[in-house]
Amino acid sequence: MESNNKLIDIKNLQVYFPINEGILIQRHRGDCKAVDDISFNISKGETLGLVGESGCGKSTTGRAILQLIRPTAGHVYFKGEDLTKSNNKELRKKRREMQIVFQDPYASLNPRASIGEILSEPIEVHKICKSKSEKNEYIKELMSMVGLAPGFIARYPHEFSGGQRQRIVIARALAVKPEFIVCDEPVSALDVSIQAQIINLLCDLQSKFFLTYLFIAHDLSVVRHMSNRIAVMYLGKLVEIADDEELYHHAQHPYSLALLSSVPLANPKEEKLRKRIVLEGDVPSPTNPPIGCRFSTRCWRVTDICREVSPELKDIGGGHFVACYHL
Amino acid sequence: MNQSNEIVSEILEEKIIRLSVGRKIFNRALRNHTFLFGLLIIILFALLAAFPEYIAPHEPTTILSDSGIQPQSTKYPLGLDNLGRDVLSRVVYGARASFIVSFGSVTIALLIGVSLGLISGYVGGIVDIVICRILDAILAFPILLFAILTLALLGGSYTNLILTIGLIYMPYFARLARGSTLSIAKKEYVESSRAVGSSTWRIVTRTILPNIIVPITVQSSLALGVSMLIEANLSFLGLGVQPPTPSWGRMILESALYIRQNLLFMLTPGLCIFITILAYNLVGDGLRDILDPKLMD
Repeated sequence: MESNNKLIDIKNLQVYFPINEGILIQRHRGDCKAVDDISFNISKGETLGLVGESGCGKSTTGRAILQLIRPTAGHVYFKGEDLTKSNNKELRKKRREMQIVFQDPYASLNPRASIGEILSEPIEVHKICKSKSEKNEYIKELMSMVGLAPGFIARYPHEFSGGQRQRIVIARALAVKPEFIVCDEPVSALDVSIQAQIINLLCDLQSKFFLTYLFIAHDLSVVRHMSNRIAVMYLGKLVEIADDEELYHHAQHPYSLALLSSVPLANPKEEKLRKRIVLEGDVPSPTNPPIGCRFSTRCWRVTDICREVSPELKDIGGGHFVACYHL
Repeated sequence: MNQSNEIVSEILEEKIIRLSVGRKIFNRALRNHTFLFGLLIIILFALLAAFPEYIAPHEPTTILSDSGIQPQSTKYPLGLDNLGRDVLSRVVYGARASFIVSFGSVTIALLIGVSLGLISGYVGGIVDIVICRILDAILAFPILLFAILTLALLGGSYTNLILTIGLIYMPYFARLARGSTLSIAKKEYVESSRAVGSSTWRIVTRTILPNIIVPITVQSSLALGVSMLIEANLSFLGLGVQPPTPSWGRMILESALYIRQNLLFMLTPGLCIFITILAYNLVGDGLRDILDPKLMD
């Protein structure tokens, strides 16, 4: 019963990148544990924000859900079907229902293809339109949907600004009429003024097409605006998941607290009173993470148990999960 | 009012852009003098190769004088060769061998090399290792030694020359294509093609190939020069096009003993080789500029 409104259900997802040595005879020397045993789910129509610092495995998680990177272990259920078990051919068909918007709009558009060609790709691959004129109409419709003049159809990506390019990327993702879109830091490469436009566009499209988002970002204020729930990631592990407001006002995990304390406040009086938690040391290497809690090397609440046994995500009520011994 | 203006300018813009995609390249080609100069020379030589019977004053194999070699005169502007044949006519007819062999071998090298490079670069893994070792093995042979070996065994004919030079040059295309593919395949737009659900074939032909075509085009025009030089070398060694079919390389070989009697017998084919190769290089350099999408504005 419960699984009915879960569009995406992720169970014990692991993505390890093997580190090999040698040219002909390769020896396995270890793994880069980019994503290490995380589980969460996303309901239909929901936006789940995924935050964390650079290199914590956010983007890898997003790509692993879409099977752009095949997970090492674990399951990704999309509408109850395990994507990790489908072969490439089946996956290609499934891609009609799930799309991705990449971080850097300068890198994610083929510089040799015009906008029309870029937008025809999903249409042709999934045979969405029957005739050429129908396809042209549809492309123009897509372009105006994301706020681009249809007259730009024959232009090339380098003729556009970052914000316009990101609109093209969004139009491409929308072309197949997906249900689920992974937004992989869709605004972090853009100007602040443009960021707001793109975020509003994403919000509008969500309510128009009942989209479900996994919104990956490192900017907490952006995530707060977009998300219904927020998941905090640190070094390949989820440390906390909670509803948007709950996390902002009652964060429990020390890492979430530190992360939240880094957000500047708009009100100067409040800003003066803001206490920053400055973490000491660096993020440990994901090739050799701490044995116990991943955060134990930098945590101010650390005790012996933290260093030995990794804490599990525990429900502390109202769908708020925290992985910490000291609450 | 403002809005209608915008729409008008939009429509105008659309028309201009529509026209200009192919036209931009053409316009840029017209403005590129290096390219035009090179192209002009190549066209001139191509005309020689295509219609020598209308351009050459004599048949290339007709013996015009029993006394053999003659220096330049008003009757024979470049003189006669050691067998008494008109040097000018032989130079004109010699263009054909050079063109057939250079274009033929580059086409073969291009087709095989680029396909192998794309497969090797995009598929990776064991396929990549196997292909790369094969390429290394071919590259490890000294070019001329390899050509001498195969041509001595199979005999010098157009087909054998084209296949041999094509095979010799193929690894360079394969490596270039592989290297470019490797760098392009990591780009996000290739990943987004995958995310859209495109097949591997579509990704390789529609996304990767257009992005590596510029270095390959440039390389091909340079390769035309090199393969022509190899052909001339082989002909000089007596392994290329077999007599009496005229070939520039072979003419240099034949003229070596008669420099004192007729200097132009040696200089003209040499100059022809030099100028055509220069022209190929000019075209290659020009193409690199013309096809650069970042300079399209």
